Amino acid sequence: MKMPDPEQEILDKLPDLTGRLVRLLSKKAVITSEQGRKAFESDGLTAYRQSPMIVALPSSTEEVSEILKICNELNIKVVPRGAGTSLSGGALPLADGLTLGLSKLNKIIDIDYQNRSVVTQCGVTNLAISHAVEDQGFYYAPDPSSQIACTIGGNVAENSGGVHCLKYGLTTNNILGLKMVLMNGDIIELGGKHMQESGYDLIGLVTGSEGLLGVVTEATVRILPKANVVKAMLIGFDDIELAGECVARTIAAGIIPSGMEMMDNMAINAAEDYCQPGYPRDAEAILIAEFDGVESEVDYFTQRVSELAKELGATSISISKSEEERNGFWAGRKAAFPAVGRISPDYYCMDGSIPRKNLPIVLRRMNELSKKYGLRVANVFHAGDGNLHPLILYDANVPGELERAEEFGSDILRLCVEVGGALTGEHGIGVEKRDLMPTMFTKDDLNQQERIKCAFDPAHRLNPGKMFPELHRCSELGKMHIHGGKLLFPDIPRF
Amino acid sequence: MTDLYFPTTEEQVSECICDHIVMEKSLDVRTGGSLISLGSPMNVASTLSLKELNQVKLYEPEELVITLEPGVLLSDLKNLLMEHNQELKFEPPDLGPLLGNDPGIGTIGGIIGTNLSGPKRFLAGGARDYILGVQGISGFGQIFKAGGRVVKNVSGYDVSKLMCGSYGTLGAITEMTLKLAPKAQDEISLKIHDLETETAIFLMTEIAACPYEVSGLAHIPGTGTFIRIEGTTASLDERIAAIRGLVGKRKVSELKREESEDQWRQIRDVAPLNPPKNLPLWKISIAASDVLDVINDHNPEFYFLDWAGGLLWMSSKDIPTFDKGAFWLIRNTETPLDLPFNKSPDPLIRNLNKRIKKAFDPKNILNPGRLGF
Ligand SMILES: Cc1cc2nc3c(=O)[nH]c(=O)nc-3n(C[C@H](O)[C@H](O)[C@H](O)COP(=O)(O)OP(=O)(O)OC[C@H]3O[C@@H](n4cnc5c(N)ncnc54)[C@H](O)[C@@H]3O)c2cc1C
Repeated sequence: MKMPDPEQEILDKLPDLTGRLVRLLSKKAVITSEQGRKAFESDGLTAYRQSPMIVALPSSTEEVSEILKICNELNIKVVPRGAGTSLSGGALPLADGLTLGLSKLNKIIDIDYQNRSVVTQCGVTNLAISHAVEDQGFYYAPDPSSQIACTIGGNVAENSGGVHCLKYGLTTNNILGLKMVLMNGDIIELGGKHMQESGYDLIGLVTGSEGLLGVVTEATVRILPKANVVKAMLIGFDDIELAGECVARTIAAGIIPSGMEMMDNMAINAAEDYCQPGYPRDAEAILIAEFDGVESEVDYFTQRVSELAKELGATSISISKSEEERNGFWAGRKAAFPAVGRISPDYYCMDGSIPRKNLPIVLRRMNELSKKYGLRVANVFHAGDGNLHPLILYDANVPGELERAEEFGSDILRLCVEVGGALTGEHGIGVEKRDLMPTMFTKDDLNQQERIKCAFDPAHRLNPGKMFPELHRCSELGKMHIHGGKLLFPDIPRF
Repeated sequence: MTDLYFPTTEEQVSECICDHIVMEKSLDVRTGGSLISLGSPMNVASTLSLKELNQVKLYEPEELVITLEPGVLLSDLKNLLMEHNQELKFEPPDLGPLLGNDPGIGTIGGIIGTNLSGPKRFLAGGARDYILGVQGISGFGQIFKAGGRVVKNVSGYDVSKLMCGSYGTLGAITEMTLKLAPKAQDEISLKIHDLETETAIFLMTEIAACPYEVSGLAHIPGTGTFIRIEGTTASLDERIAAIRGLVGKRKVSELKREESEDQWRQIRDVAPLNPPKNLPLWKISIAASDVLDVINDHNPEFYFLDWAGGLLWMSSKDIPTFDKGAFWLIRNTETPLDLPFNKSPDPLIRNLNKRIKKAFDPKNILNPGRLGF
């Protein structure tokens, strides 16, 4: 993966930049030592590493604004970073860039039960929001598996999902307001505690923009009352396609579980070896479906899904009878990544999204690819909404295996797009899938997206090298060419 | 006299826009036209109506998605979805009659263009939460698409959300994909008589904070406070009992399915509640905790609350004033007063909006000025 070449002009400005940052922040909040910078060299996509030129750790929106003003003036590239758990390399540093670490913006500012909302700084972790309101019976719904560590700022940037997004939506459906700083240092406030804004939906645009449009310093999130009753089901099948069919029939019956997950045989056994959740080892696939609400409704749904599963010949069906049992059902799913990490020296987590009905074709073709590349693949799957997480097993110490795993991964994503899906369901494009963007979008589509970038950051200083396979000058992107009374669409030169 | 264009293909839409770019002439981009009075007044050369683009391109009930062209009538769409017991969960309103047009002429293009959402907004989100992908023609004359047809998709910027509620100022949407929901098995509403507005707001907030997934909370002064419950038939009794517990000894009546549906249609479409025609009608999105102040400050002749207190409709000759929140001038008086369509945004945000407009439509051809910038 090629990142933009370091610009010597920027590297030359490092002393000036360091001096100004130290004056603005304390010395401790500016990291220049080689060892100190190395701590930031990668995010959750550990195959890519690059030490940043410098790291700044602001503690307030105002400090973020001042830092960006300085960087804007000196033309320094900036990479925002929350907890660094991105799986697409979104927070990968640049050799000539400043990494803006946001972990010190870690305060919850306002909890407002009357308006069912929480105002929080961007560095607060996803789980900390739920913890802060659980006494009063509330929680923040989007629940990425990384929720202990990942920040709400990172969630907004990636539009993160989780197992309960099937019913409660992704990050974007749960954000009411944002405070953010633009690359020129302008501080803007979008939305608030009200539900709808006038003008363009900037909150919707910024959510999922991977730190390319601005630095989010505060978010106002929607909190929900916890359901009275929650029950999970664990259903085993001896054929993975039947498990897929069970999901399809559930949804077709008008039943939307709060979460519906699938694991294949390899993932089941990895989980059993790791933490013994009691999954049927011989099943080709298990489904974990969860329902929440009032008891009569939860019971009705679990009953209906039991019937559907039975009709399809499920080999085992259990409905949780206690919180302990329910958590047990989830334990293996939650530990799926580390569990797979134990059966292979390395694994590469993919994140394609497909129309559910195409699951059988995708699984079959993925099997063929697995043989072609000589690499095993375990599957965990947000089955209810068609979001696949194939985990490709490889050994980075074997020369060429990482490259093979990446090729395999790219083929899986191309396949997802081919069957009507998307390159990424929740992990983002980042650097990882940047060069695959043209499989999903035309040049015109991408130019239009880049023009949006230009409206926020005309010099491409914020997180360059992520999301867009090519960068164009904004002045060129904005031009129209008319010749002989006709509109021409010339090729736009790139940098 | 303005020229009228009714393209029947996407290519024709593109041609029409390209021609206008070359001539530097502006276009009034619309679909059915039932919502055309929303927005700041425009001075345009021609009208580009997308209503002949009216095909359903793909409907996969088991995937809960539909791809359609903007001209599909809401009434037709509703019937189509009903065949599979599905619906658009954001309850698109039919504001046609409120704006002096016939009922039933509203299109999905109009709804997505203006991001209009019904009473479930506080529980289930609005139009913008159900749009998965768009395709359209920008003010560069080029076809662009964004998003896709799957629910989980973070590939590239969420341009679909940007297009939703852009009032045709960023591009002519030629195709969109929406997420669908199964229709609830059953519905029932409670009507509480004679609550003071302040008490009603308090009660609505309290109920919205309970885990009964109440899907409608509205207060119409002089008529009643309405609480809607939807879900499996088996669960309605349990939830009604719980909510009755919160309501206490107040006088309550139950509205069975049909009556309940009719009541919420009235709340959704507003016209049946008869807001006075001699005063401007405002729609205000505001935190429920702030709504009472706005009502007291303006002392409106007519008002009611939806979205669990987060939405205020009011008739008042004055421009609404409050700190945080948004408003829309939905209907002006017959001899229009000089009033703004939206609350004037912070200058930095206004500038950002202008830059985004320019990123899609550098010559300001598409619905120029409709959003006031
Ligand atoms: C074990 C594991 C499990 C995971 N499970 C899930 C899952 O279930 N669902 C899911 O969706 N994701 C999952 N992820 C991915 C990751 O946790 C999410 O993408 C998360 O939102 C990233 O948050 P972060 O704070 O770590 O952001 P970072 O990794 O620090 O940054 C991510 C991106 O956001 C930008 N960014 C960060 N903060 C800001 C800000 N304040 N303003 C602007 N831009 C910012 C960065 O520049 C970068 O592009 C998982 C990751 C791991 C390691």
